Amino acid sequence: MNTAVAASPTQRLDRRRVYIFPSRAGFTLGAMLVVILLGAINYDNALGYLLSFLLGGMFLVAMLHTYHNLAGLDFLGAHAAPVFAGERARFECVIGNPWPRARLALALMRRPRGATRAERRRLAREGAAFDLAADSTLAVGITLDAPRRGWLSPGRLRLESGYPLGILRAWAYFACDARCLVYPAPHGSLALPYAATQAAGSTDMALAGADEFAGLRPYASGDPVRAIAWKTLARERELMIKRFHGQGSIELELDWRTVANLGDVEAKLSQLTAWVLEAERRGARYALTLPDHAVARGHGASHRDACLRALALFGGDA
Amino acid sequence: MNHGELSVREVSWVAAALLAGLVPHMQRFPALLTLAFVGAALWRVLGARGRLPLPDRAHPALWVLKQLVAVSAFAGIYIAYHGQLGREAGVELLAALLGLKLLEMRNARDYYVVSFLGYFLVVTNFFYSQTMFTALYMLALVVFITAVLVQFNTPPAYRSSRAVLRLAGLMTAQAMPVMIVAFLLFPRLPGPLWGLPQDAFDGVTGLSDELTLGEVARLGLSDAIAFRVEFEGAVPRARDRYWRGPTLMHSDGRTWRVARIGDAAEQRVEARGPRYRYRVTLEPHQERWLLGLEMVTRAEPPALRTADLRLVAAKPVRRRVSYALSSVVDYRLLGLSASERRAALALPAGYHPRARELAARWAASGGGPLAIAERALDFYRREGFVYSLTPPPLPGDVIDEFLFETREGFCEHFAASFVTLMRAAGVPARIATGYQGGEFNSLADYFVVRQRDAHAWAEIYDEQAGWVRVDPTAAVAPTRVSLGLGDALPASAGSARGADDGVAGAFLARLRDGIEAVTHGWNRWVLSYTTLQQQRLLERFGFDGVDAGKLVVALTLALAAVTLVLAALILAATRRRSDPAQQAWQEFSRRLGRVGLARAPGEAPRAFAHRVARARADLAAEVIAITRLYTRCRYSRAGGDARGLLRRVRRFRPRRR
Repeated sequence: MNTAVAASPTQRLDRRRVYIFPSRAGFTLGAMLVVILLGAINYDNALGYLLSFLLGGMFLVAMLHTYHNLAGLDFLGAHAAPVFAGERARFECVIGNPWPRARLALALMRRPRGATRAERRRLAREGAAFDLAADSTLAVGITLDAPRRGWLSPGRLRLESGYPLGILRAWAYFACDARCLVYPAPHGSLALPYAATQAAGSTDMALAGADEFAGLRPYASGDPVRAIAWKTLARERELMIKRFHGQGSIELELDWRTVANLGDVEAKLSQLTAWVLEAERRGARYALTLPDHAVARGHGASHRDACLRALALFGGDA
Repeated sequence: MNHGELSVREVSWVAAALLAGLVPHMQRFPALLTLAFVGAALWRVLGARGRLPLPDRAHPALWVLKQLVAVSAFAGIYIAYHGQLGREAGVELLAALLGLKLLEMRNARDYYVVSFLGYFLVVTNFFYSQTMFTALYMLALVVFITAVLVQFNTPPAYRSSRAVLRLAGLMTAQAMPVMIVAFLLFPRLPGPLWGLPQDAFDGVTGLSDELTLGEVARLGLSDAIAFRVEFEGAVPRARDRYWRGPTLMHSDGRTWRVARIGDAAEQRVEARGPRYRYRVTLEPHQERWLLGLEMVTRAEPPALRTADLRLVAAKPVRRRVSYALSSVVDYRLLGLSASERRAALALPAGYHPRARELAARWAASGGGPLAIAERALDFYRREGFVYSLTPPPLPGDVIDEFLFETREGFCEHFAASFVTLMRAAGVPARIATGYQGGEFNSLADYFVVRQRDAHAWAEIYDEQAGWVRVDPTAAVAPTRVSLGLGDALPASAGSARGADDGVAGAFLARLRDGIEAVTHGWNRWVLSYTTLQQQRLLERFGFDGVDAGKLVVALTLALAAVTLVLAALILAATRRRSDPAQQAWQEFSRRLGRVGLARAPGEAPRAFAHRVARARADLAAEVIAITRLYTRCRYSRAGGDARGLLRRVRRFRPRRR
């Protein structure tokens, strides 16, 4: 599995990490409490005093309950499957509740440092709402745009809850160092560079599906629907792809120099990405040569992913 | 929570809470307003159910209808109260506003505002009633509105009415200690902070500081409580229980009024009998004077004793006050200035000629003031005077008509006519007003004095004896003084109390005493809790010279302590661990979660184990073994080795691939 998972240790929400502050509704209630108290003083009304103090006490109790709803939860890390640039990356953030008490009305969202007000509001809307049953662990999906190839990090995450009265909001931040690998967006108009290859006794004919069955591999995005092993679906619960070997398989050389006339680096990488996917779909054996990296000839999902990874990280350091 | 459309349940709950909050007001509301509010609530609930279109912009006709109803409600209230926003108008406006707000409620923000206004509605009840029942109703409403908020914030899957109400009740209970501490220690500011509406203290009755014949008759029939008295130790006899209020000096022939400032001379009391120590809890009467057992020798704040031995408060009594006094009933009250003597002898010129004539004859036959008074009392006894709460009207010279024609009246008539006769005979005299008697509450050990115990009597001045109390009513109806008003009148005269006879009667009397005792405790500890009680409470804990600053410090410390205890209680649930098997399973799930194999919520242990085994052949054996151990611990009747499970889980260290 080619997932980039943070190897960070569990982060527990203890006292120092949980913040709490009245929400907008809380301020409204607070203002009303002041009005009731002033009225009680003015009319020297004993029950008015009692009610304002009772509601004040309720505020305090709500604070403890709201804090309690968030405290002690564990952030166990996050992982995300690679995506192509332009798609949305989905980070599965694993949150554990090791306590015998359900935690309700939680929301997880991204909250990068220095986010503007509008940004914060948008991120809160995009956030995931969920509940944690007693003694449970849950993977909560946070999606975000992956506009560019390379590593994508969700940045700081915020877990918050206003339960049970909504007049206070408790929140905590997690440093999420999980990364999602973003491949270049696959596009380009050039055909596969057959000419540059030395096909062993065969011309550019449709090759996939021709020959002997060579086993199954898990489905990956971009695989043709006709290659899906439908019969095994019921057994395996997972989409599998039928793979074939044959004398007819072609060998391709996907070389940076082949796309030299495409000018822009990103356009070149996109073209190569499209070729990698196409070649893999066709069951070809292909090699990838980049100025700073080369992947030897091969085929199959892990080979494809190695190529895509090289393309994604081209020019970068990792 | 991100709320979309408000659900039927959410809308119904908040509508029901507001209706419950308005119920106590409905008896005072115009029927149309109640109807409009109930209609609005129903409309909103049916709208949420999709049975009726709501009056929003999508339905212009309905929207116009709603605006029309709203405008006419506001206009109606404005016109009915002539544009004066007092207490009643304010509450009605709030109700109209709430109905409207309920109809317009669309999103979470509206929902919160409407719920909070529900809390506000609770307060408005306190203008009208502050009984213990009102307080309990308030508490129930607070729980209800809190439940409305809890439900709103609880995800639908967890929303059982019982769980929601339980949490709301629990939170309210947890808020109570904070309330009690704050109530006891919050510094009481001298109010009012701003002008009060004119109707703020409506409907409060009491003794008046002037007396026009006929006034006290109205009180005679009122069962309302005037004040309560708790004695420490000895209790005076019924015929000595004269609760003295203002004394009336000036007469214009029909109305008697209190002495003007400057008339009063310094007076001193020589106590002769035992001292009685007691505490009076007085109902508000909007006047400054206070009541005490005749004659007060020592008063504690807020009761003040003036030089002429009147008992007053610093400000008009707008709420229940409680004060401690010492009194004697056997005493000599000395001191009469020249100007006071003049006032105590003055009669309006040209009034009461027949009374003057009679008094002149008594004066001529000699004897001191006491002898003359005795003659007057004889006159009342002999001449067929009748005690009655419904005397015939006296259109002419009130004193002469009463003394020589109707001869039927109650304490005021006797007191006023007696004082007139005394003055005409050259004896300084004045009317004392107050209460006489009081009934004993055996359960709580105190006396209740009701408005119907209001009384008026006379005081005459003798050079040797000082001011002497003379009660001419006692000469005519002795039982009025020894037993109280209820027993002095024939049954048909309308005693406000029913006949308490037989076992059922005795039981009812005890029950009434019980309720009365609880009410008194409530009044004393809650309703009349003021700066003074606060100081007394703190003195009991050894803090002297308490001021607002010290109170704030004490309040802060006490609140911090309460918060700590609450926090320990509430957060203790977090610290409570589940059983070892569960703990081990938790740890196991967490370790797998860390390598990207999180257990889905609700995923059964075996299904989880199989999924992991399929994904990670290298872990399969250990995962399945641990799961088997765990299921044996949890589900097998024989039980399993939970500690062994925990040890095994601790050794289980899956790595990422």
